[in-house]
Amino acid sequence: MSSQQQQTYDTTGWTESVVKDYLTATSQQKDDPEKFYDTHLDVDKIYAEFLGGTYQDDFVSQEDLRDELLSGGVDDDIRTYILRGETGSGKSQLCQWLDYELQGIGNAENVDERVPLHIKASETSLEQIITTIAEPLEIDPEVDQVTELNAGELADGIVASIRANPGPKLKDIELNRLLSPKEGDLGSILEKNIENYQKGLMEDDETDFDPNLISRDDYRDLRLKLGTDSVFHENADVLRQALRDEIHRHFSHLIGVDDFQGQLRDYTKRMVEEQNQRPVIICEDVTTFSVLKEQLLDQIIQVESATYDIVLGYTTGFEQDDLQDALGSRGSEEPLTYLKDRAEGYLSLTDDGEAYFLDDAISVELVRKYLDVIKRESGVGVSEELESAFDSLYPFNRAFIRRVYQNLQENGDPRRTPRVLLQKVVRRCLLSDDPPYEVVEKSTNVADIVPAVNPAAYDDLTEQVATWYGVEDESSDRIKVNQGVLDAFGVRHTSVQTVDREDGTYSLFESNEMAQQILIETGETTGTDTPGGDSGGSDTGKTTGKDPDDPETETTGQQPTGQNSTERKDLDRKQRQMKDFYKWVRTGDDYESSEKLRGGAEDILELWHEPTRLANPNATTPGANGIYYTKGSSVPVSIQGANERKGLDVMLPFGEDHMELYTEVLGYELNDGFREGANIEQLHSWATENVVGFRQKMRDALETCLPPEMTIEHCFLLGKYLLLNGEFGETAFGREEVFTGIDLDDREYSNPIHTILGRTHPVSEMFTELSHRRSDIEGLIEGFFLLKSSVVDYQKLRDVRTDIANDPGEYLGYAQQIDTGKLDEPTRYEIGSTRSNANVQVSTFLDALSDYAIEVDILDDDDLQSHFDEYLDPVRKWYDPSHTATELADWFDRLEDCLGTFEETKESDWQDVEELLEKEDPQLQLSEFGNRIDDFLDPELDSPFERISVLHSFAQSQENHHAWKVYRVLDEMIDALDEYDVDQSTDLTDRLTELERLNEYESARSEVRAALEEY
Amino acid sequence: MTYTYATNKSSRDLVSYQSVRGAETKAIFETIQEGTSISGIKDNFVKPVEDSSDRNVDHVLQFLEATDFIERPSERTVQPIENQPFENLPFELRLLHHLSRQENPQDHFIRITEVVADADVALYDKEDLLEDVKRQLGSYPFDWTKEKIKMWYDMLAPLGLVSVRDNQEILTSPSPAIVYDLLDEYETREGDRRVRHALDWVEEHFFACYTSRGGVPTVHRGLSDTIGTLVADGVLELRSPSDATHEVDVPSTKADRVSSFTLNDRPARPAYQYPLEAHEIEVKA
Repeated sequence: MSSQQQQTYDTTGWTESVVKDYLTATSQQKDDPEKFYDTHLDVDKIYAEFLGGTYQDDFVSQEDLRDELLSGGVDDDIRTYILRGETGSGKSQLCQWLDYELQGIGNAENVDERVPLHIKASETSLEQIITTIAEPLEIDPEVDQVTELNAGELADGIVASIRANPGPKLKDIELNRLLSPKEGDLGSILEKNIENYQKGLMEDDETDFDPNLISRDDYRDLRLKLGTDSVFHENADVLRQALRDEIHRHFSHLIGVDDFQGQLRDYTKRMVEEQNQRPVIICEDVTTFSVLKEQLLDQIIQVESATYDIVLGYTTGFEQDDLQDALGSRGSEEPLTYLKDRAEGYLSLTDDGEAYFLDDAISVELVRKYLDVIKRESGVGVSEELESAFDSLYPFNRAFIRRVYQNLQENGDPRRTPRVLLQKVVRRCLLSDDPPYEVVEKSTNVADIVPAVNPAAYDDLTEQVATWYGVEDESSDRIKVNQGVLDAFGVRHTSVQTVDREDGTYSLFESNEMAQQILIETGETTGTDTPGGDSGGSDTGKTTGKDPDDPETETTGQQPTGQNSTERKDLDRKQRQMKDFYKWVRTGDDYESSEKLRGGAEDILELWHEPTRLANPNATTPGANGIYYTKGSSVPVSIQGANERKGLDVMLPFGEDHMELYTEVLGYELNDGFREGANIEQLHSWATENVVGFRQKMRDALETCLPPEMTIEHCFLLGKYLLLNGEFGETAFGREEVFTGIDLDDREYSNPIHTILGRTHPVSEMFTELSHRRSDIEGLIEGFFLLKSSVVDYQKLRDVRTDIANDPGEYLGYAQQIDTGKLDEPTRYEIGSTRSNANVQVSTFLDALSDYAIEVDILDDDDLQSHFDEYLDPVRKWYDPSHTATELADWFDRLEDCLGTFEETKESDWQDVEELLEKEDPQLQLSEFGNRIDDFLDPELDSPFERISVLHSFAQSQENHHAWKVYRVLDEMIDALDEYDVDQSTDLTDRLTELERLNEYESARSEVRAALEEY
Repeated sequence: MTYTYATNKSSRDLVSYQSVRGAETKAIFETIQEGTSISGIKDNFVKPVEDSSDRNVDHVLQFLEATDFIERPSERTVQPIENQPFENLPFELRLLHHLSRQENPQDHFIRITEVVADADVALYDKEDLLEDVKRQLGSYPFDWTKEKIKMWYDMLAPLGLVSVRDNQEILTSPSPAIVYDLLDEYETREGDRRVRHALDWVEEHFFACYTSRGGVPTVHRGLSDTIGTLVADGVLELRSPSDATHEVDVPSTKADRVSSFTLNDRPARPAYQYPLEAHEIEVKA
């Protein structure tokens, strides 16, 4: 692509040396009035907070300022005009123009009584300033060239002078430590700074160097060296200024300026008196002044009379720190206020990085002036045909310059000044072999702008040329580009419409409407009116209210507000983010601001869905549980190749096919809402697909842990079934069982899994784990099987419930195969009713289900029997179906009599049984009891569920059938008497008879014992 | 095929069935056959808990009867009204058709789609909708309330006519499934592919499509977006032949005015399913 364009791109119309001559920081043409006037663009818009007696809070022109300077008498008192402006905003240009005008080179009349003393920003060394001031008097001020002096010697001289003559403010201060080479070593600091100063003076450009011979940093270092107890530490601000003033005073003196203020007063006075000319000191930028800055400012604000005018230029921002410092303390007033109060004019060239006088239309004329001169001086000429296609601005055109101007920046901040436009953009374009649209695309001084034409429809070359050279076609909403421009850059398009307009033939390209709307909405939301036509690709300024037919229309605002730089930066940032996006979506390459696209995708995915919740998607069941993927703060979105998540995600693959959809997604994030023309259904459909897909991934991940026959829904229902079985011995699983809450108060006995098997039995332990998941399981069943709180999702429930109910054993087997080790990120799947309260891991539930399934399956009939035996033994021993309640009561009495004889203590259970048997109708239900015990004596059961069920029947029988207790107590009583026993019978009647015989014997024996004791 | 009205049905205003939503209405209807007992339906659908209430299910049955899907041959049973038009179509579309057949004042339900079409917005604030409905449909013998509006979208959003965004605004675009099936049905029935005729037919039998009808009618924003989605997905092709007479303006498509359509195969993707079916692929086969 590039080889083709470079063959086509014609750069023969200008020569490198001419370009460099005209487009340099210290423009050569400023020394040549003719060239100067050729390239000078009238500075027609200067904001005057006030100027003379005429203007207040108004815009003034360069002529207004000149005429103000020409007003008044030769020997009037000093007048000061403050001229603020950011670097490169045209201060020098304006000052040069004033200089020429006052010299009489321009159009001004009545200039005979003025003599301009122009101190250029590049000529601010001490000797240059003095020479400039002395020049009209033809005096040689005999000042040494600082650059030719030895820095070390100068520094030593200053130190020696301070020692000898410290001045009024330092005279009482102990200076030895400060000056000593072993301690403060001021001399070395000065030497270094003088060297830097000399270097700075020799540079061509207005380079940044600190014109102070002692900087704040230097002073801080000194202070630290001298220790916190030194006076330089305590009284830092005052002493730093005093020390600096003394250093500068002695420095001036050493190079031959004994008394700058005196000389200034003297020279200007002589001009007035001897030549009848009023000096006008035009000081381009006092910021760059060095040792004379304080002295000059001091002079200006002296109350003493002086007879000259001074235009005091300074770089905006200077007043914030340097001015205060240079002016020193002026009583209670702020230095700026103090200076303003004494000034005749207070003017600003810029606001927020933007030159007032330069707008996009004027910037075109500015560039045109330079191009005309450069082409003329280069002497080759560009074909008329080419110039015509390029609005006579080849290799730019009007749209190009305006678009560049609107997007000028420096160090990332908007800076629409002539210097940036001319030096940083136009110059580089003209010196490059690459065509201008490529140069500006790469330039750090031109903010990224989004393509003006639909990037999905055109190749890079077309897109770039149309973006920079195209304008919106009034009659078609398309972007039109002059055919001559397209030909010049080798853009060939067969499929686009061509139209003939008054000023030529144009190709029409589909505009990048989406991006424009997104960016315009940005402007609207932040309350600006600027971006639309200028930066979003439309050149007609739909949203600016400008007349689309008149490209020269000026911006209308008369207030010096302009576009707020925050808003401008906001827009620039968004343009950059869109550019990033376009690049990524085509190539999948780096995508610095991919978080924006991700943010938009997350928001849109959550607009109509709860993407990370797995539950019944058709339900409205607030409070019901679901399974949430809880990683991150919302649904995880990956930007393919650029910003991919680990784990589950919704992937946004790159590719031009997705460009339009993603542009909407990005726009949603950038503007915090849909753009007006967005097809929201398309985004809704996209969200639905991806949410369904994401939930499918969640399900797949979870079901990887399950055997293929089992779904997670089966797990919930099996869990509920096992809980019901474990808590109540239930083996049926109808619809009621699915939804009925487990209320342990419904059970009259303690759970035999714990009481009979024992707390430490594995089944018991695992059941405890599973029952901890009870509310999770019940909540999940509601979340998956209800349509609303009182309506069942019948179709969904039917099959799963039938599966479990028909063969719970089969699913118990599947549950044993659950392997949560297969789940990636087990901590990310959690159960809860909302994402934020989901804090039980699904794996905890699945493990509990699986572990219990394993243990309960191991439980066999013999296990059960062994646990029953303790209870069954007395019954096996003594029970006979023929027993009646009366018989049992009788036997109890007889045994109690016997035991009374032996003075056996009654157990509390015995007491209970005694009370029970004493009742008229003890309700022993002996026949029913008899029927039940067969179930327990020799259980032969088909399934673990039946075993648990029998366990419950057993516990329930224990609770309900008092016969268990009666036989146990009888057994215990007999056991107690066995201590005294010889023969044993297993028949309860026989046994009692034997015991009664024993009783008689014992009665006799105790009678004997009693008699003996009595004796 | 003529439309049959259920006899002796309740005259309760359709928007007053405030607990009835699309999901259970469809689910319950799909279990009803000839001789289905009401108690059987309740056994299936009422959550079987102690304090369970069958009021919801009763209301759904009443609503189905009021919209001529079922009738009650006896006190204890219900059965579908057979041979209704569009029996071959999914329940979602049939309900829209049945709603469009209701006579005054029960036509209030479907007429809300006219208010939506008139508004011509993609996202409709619920309160704005209520205000517009009060203004445009103020002649009915009941007061419009936000509960009635909620009932309307709770019924129709699950069926796909609209979507509810963030519980704040109603997305007025019908599901791509609805638009696809209707265009397909029209083409099959009438053997015609003229967009204007197809949409006129949808307006007559299902829901309002146009925001303006004079001259070249303009499809309302929500429907236009859905049509645009089908076009962008390559499912639907729209053409505007130079000799076209019956044109329609579909603002969301790049071609301004269109006259004929071609449907390609229906994608299996979730966005082309009805909302209640879209998530079915989640469950293992």
